Amino acid sequence: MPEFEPVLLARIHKADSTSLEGYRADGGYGAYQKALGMAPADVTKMVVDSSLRGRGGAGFPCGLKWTFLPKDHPGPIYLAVNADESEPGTFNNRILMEQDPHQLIEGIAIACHAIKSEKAFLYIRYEYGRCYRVLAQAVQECYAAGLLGQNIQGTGINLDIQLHRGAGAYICGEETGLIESLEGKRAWPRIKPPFPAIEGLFRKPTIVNNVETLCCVTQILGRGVDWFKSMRVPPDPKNPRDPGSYGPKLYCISGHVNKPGCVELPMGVTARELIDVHGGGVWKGRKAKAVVPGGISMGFLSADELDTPLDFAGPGKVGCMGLGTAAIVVVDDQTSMVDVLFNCCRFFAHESCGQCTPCREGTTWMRKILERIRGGHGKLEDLDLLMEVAGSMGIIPGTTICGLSDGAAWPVKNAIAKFRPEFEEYIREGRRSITPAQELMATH
Amino acid sequence: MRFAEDFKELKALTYVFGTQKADRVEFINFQFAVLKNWMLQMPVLSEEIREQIRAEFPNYPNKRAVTLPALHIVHHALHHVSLPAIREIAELLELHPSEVHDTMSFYGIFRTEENPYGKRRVWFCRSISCMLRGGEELMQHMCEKLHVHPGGTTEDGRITVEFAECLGACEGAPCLLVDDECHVNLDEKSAEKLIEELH
Repeated sequence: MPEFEPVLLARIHKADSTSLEGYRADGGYGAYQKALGMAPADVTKMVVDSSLRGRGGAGFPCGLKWTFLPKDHPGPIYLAVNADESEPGTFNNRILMEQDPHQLIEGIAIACHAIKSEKAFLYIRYEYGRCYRVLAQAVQECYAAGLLGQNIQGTGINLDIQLHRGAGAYICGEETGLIESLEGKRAWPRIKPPFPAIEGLFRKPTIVNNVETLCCVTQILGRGVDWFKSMRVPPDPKNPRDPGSYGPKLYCISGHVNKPGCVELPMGVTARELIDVHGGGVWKGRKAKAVVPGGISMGFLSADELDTPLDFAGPGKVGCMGLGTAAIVVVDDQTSMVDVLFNCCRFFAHESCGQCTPCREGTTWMRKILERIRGGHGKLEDLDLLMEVAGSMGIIPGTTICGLSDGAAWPVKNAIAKFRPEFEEYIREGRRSITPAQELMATH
Repeated sequence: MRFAEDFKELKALTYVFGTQKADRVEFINFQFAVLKNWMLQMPVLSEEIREQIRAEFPNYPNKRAVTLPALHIVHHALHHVSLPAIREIAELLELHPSEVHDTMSFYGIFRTEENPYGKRRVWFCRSISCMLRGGEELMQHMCEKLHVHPGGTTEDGRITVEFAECLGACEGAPCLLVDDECHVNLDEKSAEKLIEELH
């Protein structure tokens, strides 16, 4: 197999990676020119043919989503770009926005051409201040160069990009939560249907796409469908619902590794390869005990499951929820899974938006039960109780509106199923591991 | 204009009370009440802030969508969003104040008048990657150093320390955010130095 050349991240180490001039020198906006010469339906067809699946976590086919828009809608149609990347362990969108903003803007422009939208909202989480400033600068450059605005290059096409800053809420990454937040309301996800493609932002048809997805759109237009499909994990013949995984993917590696970072690789690399080859191995010469396969919502891989290929279907075969954001977090063998799970539960209890009772109460009680276990007062029955709570919240059991609580339940289900002896030992010995730092946060 | 009416009334009453010594005390009290009422009605948002908010209107299809940008503008300028400020934002956006308050109170970032943030805001990440690499201990160390609890502000009003969920800089864990700029790969020493240099 020939050496893999990064494409999405090809420009990030260049000195001049954020300027329009530098991007143009590398052939930037060529894909957009190409798209402008094509009919919108053809651009959509190209993306459908590429089998590009959304990189934001759910893996929904991007082109298919675009085709859900009502035909011959009088408009306006909106594109909302989801740059509210808050899944713990994930930072690939930040790198793309900070280092190569024009790749994203080109993707937005192509997508807007395909879906006939004249207005794109770019929802950036507040914490990404640097991304905001880099993108604001890049958008301004594009307006000055006539790549955005009214009647772009005499084609009669208009496009405005509006940057919108979030305000520190994880739930804004859910597409209808993001829409509500953009409308100036609290980010409570909506009941679907209607799906955003029919009735979304300001009650108009809206497409919500992730940053990495749109960067892939730029590359698909520039390099063609065949290039994109040359990197693949074909569909599982035993699973008729698996459409396969294609294209390059940005994998984030963090936690207990020697060389944390973001790497671009073809779909289907194994967790072990990511840790040993690209992450420089587990730190301090230790072994990995557990690995988060794609942001903490996706659950845990145990040490025996490290050879699982990380494509859209892979982690699901070993009991994880899916690929998610492909952000792996490595936990070494000196760390207690009870502490790791507590951290996950505390996150979800903090970030549950409070709309659906099973999630609001479930996440809080899972945190409290784990707090009790970590305070040395746990009982063995607590583990079954945790499993029961986790099993009753989410879209899968059908008790909540959005997938946040599936994500909250999955690490609990996985950790207790795969590391039960460790939890039992912890409880039986009456161990305690609440640190002073955590007490400091708990009192507040 | 309500102040104008109040002043007209005040003028009329001066004429009446001016001649009757017995009612002087009551009159002075009334003067205070009018003054207090007038001060409460003084706008919290300066014309400059209002202009900034109005400048966002053409970017969105309706005024309600400007709620978050408006809150950010006010929060950035005043370091808190008070109830009178909410009322004035609502007036600008043609909303009910409760609608603005509903949005504001949902997002953890905005602070109320009772609890404004200091000159600079420092957020320590406590999510999984940073936790695994000592982010929580780093926060504890800095809290002890600065004599504050998470969420609190130093006595000189210089720094507000807070914890945050994943800041999206996991490759540089532990990390922290100063206002909205991220700093990565910190240890106790470098964090101390960084925070000392903030002003």
